[in-house]
Order: sequence, then C-alpha cells, then structure tokens
Amino acid sequence: MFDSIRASLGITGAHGIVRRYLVVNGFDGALTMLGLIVGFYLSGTTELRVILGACVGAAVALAVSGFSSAYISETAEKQKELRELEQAMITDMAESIHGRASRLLPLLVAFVNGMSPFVISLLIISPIWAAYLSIAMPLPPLEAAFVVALAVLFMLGMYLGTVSGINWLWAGMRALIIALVTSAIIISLNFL
Amino acid sequence: MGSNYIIADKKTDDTNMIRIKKIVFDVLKPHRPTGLEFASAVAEKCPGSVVNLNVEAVDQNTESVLLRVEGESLDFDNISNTILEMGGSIHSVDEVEVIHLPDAGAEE
Repeated sequence: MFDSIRASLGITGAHGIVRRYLVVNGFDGALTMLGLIVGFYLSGTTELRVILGACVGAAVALAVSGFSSAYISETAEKQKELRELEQAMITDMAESIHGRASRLLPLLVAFVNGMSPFVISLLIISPIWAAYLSIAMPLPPLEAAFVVALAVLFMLGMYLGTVSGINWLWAGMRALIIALVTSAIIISLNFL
Repeated sequence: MGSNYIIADKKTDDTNMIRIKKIVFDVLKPHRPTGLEFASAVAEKCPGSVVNLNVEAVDQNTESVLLRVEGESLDFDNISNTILEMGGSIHSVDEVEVIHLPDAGAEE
C-alpha cells in the first residue's frame, strides 16, 4: 500500500511541491511569530497568558489557513492536470496512479502547509510557554522567543540553501537579514 | 472472458493447457511514469519475465510504446491491469506467442 502511495506521489513530483510548501508557510509562521513577539516587547506587555493566547491563536489560524488554502488550490491544480492528461490519453484515469495522486497530493500538501507554520510557531513560543510554567531560563521569555525565531529562520534559509545547492551559510544569513529587516520595520513603526 | 480466449495457466478444455510465452502491447502512456518505471512495474507483477519497452513516438503529453513481455507463463489480465494502473492505455496486442501443453494427466 505504501509503495503504491509512494509511486502515486512520485510521478507528480510531490517531494518538490511538499518541500516548497514546508518552507514557504514555515517562513510565514516564523515571521508572524517574530512580528507578534517584537510587537509585544515594544508594547511592554508582560502578561504571559495574553502573549501565549495571542500567539497560539495566530498559530492555529495559520494552520487552518495553510491547510484550507493549500487543499483548495492544489485540488484545483491537480484536477486540471488530470483532465488535461485524460484528454491527451482519451481515457478515464481516475483509477490509475495519476488519479490516485490527484486525490492524495492535495491532502498531503495541505497537511504540510498547515502543520509547518503551526509547529514552527509552537517552537518559537516555547520559551514563553516555559516561563508561563515557571521553568527557569537564561533569558527573559520574549527575548528568548526572539532568539529562537531568528534561529528557526536561519535554519529554514540554511535548509533552502542546501536544497538549491548554494552556500548554506549565505542562504541562512539571507533569511536572518529578512527577519532583522522585519523587526526593524516593526520597531520603526512604533516610533510613528 | 469466454472459453475461446487464451489465458495463461487456464485449461481451455478438459485436456489442454495454453500458456502465454510472449506478448507485445502497443501502449499509449503519459511521460510519467518513465519507461523504466513502467517496465519495472510490469516486471514486478510477472516474476521471471523479461520486459522490453521501446518508445515509438513522443507527443506533448504522451508517448506510444511497444511493451514486449516474455516469460514461461504470463498472465494477460495481470499485465493489462498493471498497464492501466500505471496510466497506460492498450491500443492493440501486436504479437503473441503461446504454447500448448498437453495435460499431464491425459498423457499418462
């Protein structure tokens, strides 16, 4: 059964699509959390329950948005591809591996697109969670979460660099620069 | 299928057995799975067989291939189902080689 699923997904180039969604929406989740953390830091909010509530709410919204948007768009895309192939083949391909792939891939992509920002968001806010549970940390919770967010974004960039075959350090630094520019924009808006 | 059709390892009447030794399909298939993946999938379903795939023509989304399967006892249904499952469409059966084996019990 797993061989059949792997074959179905293999012919659609699922690995590339899944990887793209993993990084794109993971980046989205990480930057959203970074923005929230910087915003909370600048506003002087110290109530951890409020910060956690807002961050978890945003993470859930990102997950649902990621799942539904990817499912709708990928289903439409794969059905269109299958119709075009059926026209070329002049036959119904619903029961072939192409038909199975057109049903499986949107689900897989939707899952990855939904879970990627959710898991990354939870990872970034883990220091806030730890502080809420009174676990001792070397840094204050918001600062620690900020550092984790930068580290996650650096690693996402590094992963992309490894995939595309460019220098992983430069790719990671590029993602880090984007994170720092985002923070700078939020900080400068605070002075308006 | 009725009794007039040849099916591997099936008795056509009480005393005779027909086995398919070679069969050549004219198949229209999408570019993916590749010829190697396509032929491997067929070979996987027919242990001990030799599968040969020749690309005859290439179109924008499809390609016409000649799929030659040789073995001691081929299962037509199994092969054709695999071809359909891999997204292929059988246009014709261009060549077959069958062997008539007298039933062992009848010989005695």
